[in-house]
Amino acid sequence: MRRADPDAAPDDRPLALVEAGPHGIVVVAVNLLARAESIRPGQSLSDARAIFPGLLTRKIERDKDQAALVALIRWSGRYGPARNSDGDKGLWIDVTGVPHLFGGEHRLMGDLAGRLRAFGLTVRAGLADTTLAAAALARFAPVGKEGFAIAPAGRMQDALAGLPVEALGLEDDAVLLLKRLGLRHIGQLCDLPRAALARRFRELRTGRRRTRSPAGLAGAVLARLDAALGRAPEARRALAEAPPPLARRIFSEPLISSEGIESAVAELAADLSRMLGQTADGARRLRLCLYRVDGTVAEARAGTSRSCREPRHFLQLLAPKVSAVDAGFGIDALTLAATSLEPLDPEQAALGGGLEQDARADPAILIDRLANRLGAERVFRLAPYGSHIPERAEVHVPALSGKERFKVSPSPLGFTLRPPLLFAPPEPITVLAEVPEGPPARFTWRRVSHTVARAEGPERIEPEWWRALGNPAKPPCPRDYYRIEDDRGARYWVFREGLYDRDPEAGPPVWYMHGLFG
Amino acid sequence: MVQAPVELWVSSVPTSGLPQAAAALRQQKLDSLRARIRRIELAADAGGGRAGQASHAGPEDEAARSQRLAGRVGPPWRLGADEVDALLGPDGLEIGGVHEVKPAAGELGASWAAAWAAALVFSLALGIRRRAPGPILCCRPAALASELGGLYGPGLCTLDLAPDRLVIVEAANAADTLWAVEEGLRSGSLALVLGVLDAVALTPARRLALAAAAHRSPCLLLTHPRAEATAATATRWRVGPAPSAPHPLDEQAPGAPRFMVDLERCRAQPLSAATASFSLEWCDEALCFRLAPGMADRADAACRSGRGAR
Repeated sequence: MRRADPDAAPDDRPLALVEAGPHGIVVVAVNLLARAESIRPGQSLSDARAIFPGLLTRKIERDKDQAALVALIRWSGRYGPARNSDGDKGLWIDVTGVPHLFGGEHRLMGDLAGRLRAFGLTVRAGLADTTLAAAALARFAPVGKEGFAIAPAGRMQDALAGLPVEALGLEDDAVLLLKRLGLRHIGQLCDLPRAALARRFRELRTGRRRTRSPAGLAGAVLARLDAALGRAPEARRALAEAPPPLARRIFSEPLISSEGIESAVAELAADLSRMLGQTADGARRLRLCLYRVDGTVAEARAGTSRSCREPRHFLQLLAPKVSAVDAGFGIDALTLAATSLEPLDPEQAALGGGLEQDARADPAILIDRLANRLGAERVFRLAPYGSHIPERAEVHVPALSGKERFKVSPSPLGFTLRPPLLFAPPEPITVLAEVPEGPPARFTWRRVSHTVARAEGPERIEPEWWRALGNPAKPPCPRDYYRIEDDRGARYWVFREGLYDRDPEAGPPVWYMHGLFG
Repeated sequence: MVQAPVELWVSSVPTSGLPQAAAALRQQKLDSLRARIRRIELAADAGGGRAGQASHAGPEDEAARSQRLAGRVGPPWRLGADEVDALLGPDGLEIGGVHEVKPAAGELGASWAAAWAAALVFSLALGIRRRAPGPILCCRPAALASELGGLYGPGLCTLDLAPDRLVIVEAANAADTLWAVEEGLRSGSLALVLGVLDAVALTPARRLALAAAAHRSPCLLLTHPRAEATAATATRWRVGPAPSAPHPLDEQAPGAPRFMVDLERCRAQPLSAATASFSLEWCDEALCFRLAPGMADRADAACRSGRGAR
């Protein structure tokens, strides 16, 4: 049996991650099997090997762990927008106003813990009113096999009462002093009057050289407690999204002429293209801001159907919009940002000589120019839609979205012919036809009367049955389609909506012209 | 390319002393000026980097350009019906040209939508005959779309044209439509550019012709039946519906589509008669046009009399 990654560590043996410390190689992390063999982080590797000779070791890669943690933080944006790391191994997420989307706090925590466990991580999670309290619950509260603990809203003091004082995240000096004073649990700390703590700290001496005064330590402890219980605000910073790549030019003399502005935009496009090349990204949406001397801003936006970083293409898309901008008293700063990015692999340039323009140029460039000048919804492609009703069997997809290939499933009835031109909505016509199911013999359309020479049909298309549920008073009627040809040779696609003898009070069926054949 | 300014005045003292010589000299200078302006105009339209040559330059320049746009010299663009192809000349339809397709006018009061549909299907069939890779661009003003109907994907499948080959532009007005057609021609990456317009004036028609010639992109224009003929087109067709072929299985049903096609103008090879009329049938299996065999005279006469004066 082959492994997917030959370097991956096996799961069924004790494993320790090691790092070179000042006094030799030290074990930094252990897996569950190694913990069962009583190997602990902090031991030296030689001691650990003495305990268990067959220990597998790998070097810890802190930067990769950090990158993985950042990726996990970005992923957890599904639970709340503000989030960041909490130490090396944890993360906090602000889920204010989110739990109802998951069906309650319990379900939210269950979902989170389940997904993290599915990633292969061991999870301990906590939910509380403040970040500190949640961290305390996550690290020290007894969690069941679900892996999370929730503090009921407003009753945090009770939830935190049983936790040890290390849960507040204090310095070691403070923890030591609190333990010496006999305050082992947060509940005892809360019961103590506040001034008494500073007094008790001053009376006690640890014997080690302290870096802070007893009053300072006491103040720190109380501040942490207040922050945990929500009495004081806590300082925290959410992870910022990566800013979009931005190229900027500032001019000492404001630009007034359109040639000057265009050449400035060309330089910006070159700068932006270089920035995008460094991260192997391409831009899908561009935003150009022109800052005028009198403090106003003009904006021009453009989009591409395929991610690209050609400066010439950017300039081609922006140039018509820039020429429409009023320069006012002059433009003294320009910025060009790529607001939407997509990865774009770098292409290798031709090896020999200069770059020859490909004889068959890219139609995507043309589509970008058309869509940016005329409007994105005016340039479209035809995409199939799964419906047997003819006018709903097709949708218009804007060409700028970049979707080119559509999977066309063959129609189940391959012999039915459809017209290349369709009227939306179908136009009513008056028809002389044989009752009940004959094709038309004469019809009048757009005030011109035609005699039918040949006809084929009927092809019955039943309506979608679920439409009748929404409108029980007036259910939709089936349609009988006929392909007819008049004496001149023009071919039409008409249908009759409704049947003659089905429903007397619905009225006589109505005939419509739906499409034209060639 | 920078040109030194040319002196425009003729010397007031004629060298030979005869007024005819002075007139001839002036005429010569004017002719050379006109030729130069034409060359500059074509060079400017052919693109900045390339040294453009006039389209009526010698054959070696044409070959050089077509070598530079290598990969585009494919099979000649023909309809598939021998009698019609014989009229078009040895190279078939001009790939770097503008071709106009007009719906048959019909009599007053008759509905034109059917003739438009026939002309559109004829144009799309020509596009299928082009046999080049690349998308087909179809541009038209939004107002015409509601009058003539929208292109329908499943119907195009029955014509054997994959709907995802089409890029459709519904512009707000005729000027935008013309701009879109010209952009499509300049891009040089399309198999065919189809423009549906009411009428095209002289200057835009010449611009389109120059763009098509420079980038070897074919252009088909569908114009209003009663509008004036567009200038500078390589061919001009007039298409109308014709009674279809008999259906092989059901004698009451319409069969393969047929068109009444008149070739009114062909630049490559002048027509012997004033117009040449054919009844062409589109063959689904071979994807080509065929001359409709043996039409009944009565039906033929009825179609022609229904067309009215042109």
